[in-house]
Amino acid sequence: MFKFRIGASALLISLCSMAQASDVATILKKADAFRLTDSSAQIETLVQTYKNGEPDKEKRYQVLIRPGGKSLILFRSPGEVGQKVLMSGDDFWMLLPGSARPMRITPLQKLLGDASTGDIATMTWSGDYDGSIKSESTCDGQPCLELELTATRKTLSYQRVVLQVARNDYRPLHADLYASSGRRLKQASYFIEQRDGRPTVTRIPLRDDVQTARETVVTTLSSKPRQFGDELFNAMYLSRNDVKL
Amino acid sequence: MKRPLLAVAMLSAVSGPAMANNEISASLLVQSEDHQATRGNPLGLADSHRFFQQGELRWQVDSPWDQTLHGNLSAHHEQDGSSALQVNELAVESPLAGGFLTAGKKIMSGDVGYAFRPLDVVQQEDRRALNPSTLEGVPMLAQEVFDEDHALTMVLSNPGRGKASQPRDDEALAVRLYRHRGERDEYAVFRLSQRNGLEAGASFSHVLNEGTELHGSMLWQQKHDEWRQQRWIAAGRGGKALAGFTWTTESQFSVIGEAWLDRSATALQQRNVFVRAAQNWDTFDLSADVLWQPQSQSKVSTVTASWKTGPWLFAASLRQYDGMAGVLAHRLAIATLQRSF
Repeated sequence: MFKFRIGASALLISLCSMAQASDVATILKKADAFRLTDSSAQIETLVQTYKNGEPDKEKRYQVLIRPGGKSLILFRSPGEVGQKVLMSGDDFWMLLPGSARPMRITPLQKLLGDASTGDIATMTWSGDYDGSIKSESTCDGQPCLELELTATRKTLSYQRVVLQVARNDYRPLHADLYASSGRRLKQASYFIEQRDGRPTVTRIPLRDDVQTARETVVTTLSSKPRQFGDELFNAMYLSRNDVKL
Repeated sequence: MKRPLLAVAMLSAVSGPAMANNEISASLLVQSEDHQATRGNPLGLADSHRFFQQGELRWQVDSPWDQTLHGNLSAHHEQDGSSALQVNELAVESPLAGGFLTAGKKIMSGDVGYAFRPLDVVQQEDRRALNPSTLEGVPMLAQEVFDEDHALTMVLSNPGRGKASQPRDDEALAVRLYRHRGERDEYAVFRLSQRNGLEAGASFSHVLNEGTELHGSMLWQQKHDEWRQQRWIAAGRGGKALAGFTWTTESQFSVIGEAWLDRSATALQQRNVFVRAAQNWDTFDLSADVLWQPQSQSKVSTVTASWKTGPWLFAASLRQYDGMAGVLAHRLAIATLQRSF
């Protein structure tokens, strides 16, 4: 009888944790849907950097995303036109302006310079992160859930994410982004407005915890569904100029 | 072209209305170079100073029939009044027969190394240049085929030129294969030319963990020329091999280490060891590197600082030559200011 009770309790705990895992997966999918509304899309992004509250620099990127964790970031600002970063799951390449030689780069090399900002523009949680609901509280005056998330792959830029989502529709509100060392790198807030008739994250202010005087604001200027050929996400194609958009 | 004309031409070109799916960009650069000759050098070279301005215009125009015309033009003006205008690239790129065609003059280089690239058989990018300038492309006809993880490139470079005075101008037929296998990229190259006969090589780049990458490259040459006494001399079978790594930390410090063997170099310059350390602080970069040639006890050391803010770039470098590498020149200092549009 005693053994049966232990077995039943273990089964109940296991079922509860499975249910919560399933809840978390659903929450993350819904939270992602507020950010990347189409699985294959062309996104125009503006990144503004502030130092001590004063405008410092402004950069534009064209981001092409496709299912399977594939994205291509085309740099559009003066002095950077021609620079490209290709991300395919855990694998990354970079092409510098004036070079015809795509370079394989490591996840930490990807974080050098502004490419990491483009990375944030395409970052998704579902599929890449597992975790649990840590607590329920109030965020910015509304009931919210706090999720403790761990990266499912070592190559993801942020190995730990503490994500706050609204309790009613799971829209993202805040996220703390941590490196594998446990150091908090950035704090993100998510601002939502109606676009094409649906609530969409259009602005993400990021507070830098490494360079503390710096704040970055990532604004999605436009996003439209597009289909892209396989070749566009092949590293050897980066040096070609006939990218059809 | 006079200096003011050069600047006006570049600025008026970029300030025009933006074209829908087309791209245009430009840059203006001023550079100052100070060369310090080695005292008592055998050629009696004296210290010298050079100052020049350079403008560059890049454009890409899409046609309604899927073709893209890509071009790159640079204009150069020296302090002594001499000027030069050069078309670096002018090529049509177009989808063709399930692949992609390139016809015209285009820069095409490749391989996995930083300071040395054995498989750079079509064209060599500047390696370790203090201010890497845009290369002059090679006239070519190329067809490329891609899928998600593979690429095949066939290139006929400098068609009709046979064996030219410099290797970069040689007529050659090259085939490059690429395969992406998870954390590893693999390349194979075959090239046929009058100067080198058949050349075959392979290389890889392997991401070991989040901060470390390993790479290696090897080229076998049926025959090769050596640069001796100011001319190319036939020297039988040749080969080149490279092994290296890159290591980057979370705090944006990085190290590159490479060692290579180059049978086409002069006897005392065939074995090389190279180490570079760099630190990035947002808009500011500082790097130091050393190239060591143990056979000649030559050492070339470089320190570079660069600051990039918006469209402006300022860079300053100091390079020192010791051992046999310093027989003629002892130091070189370069300062560059660049504005992009």
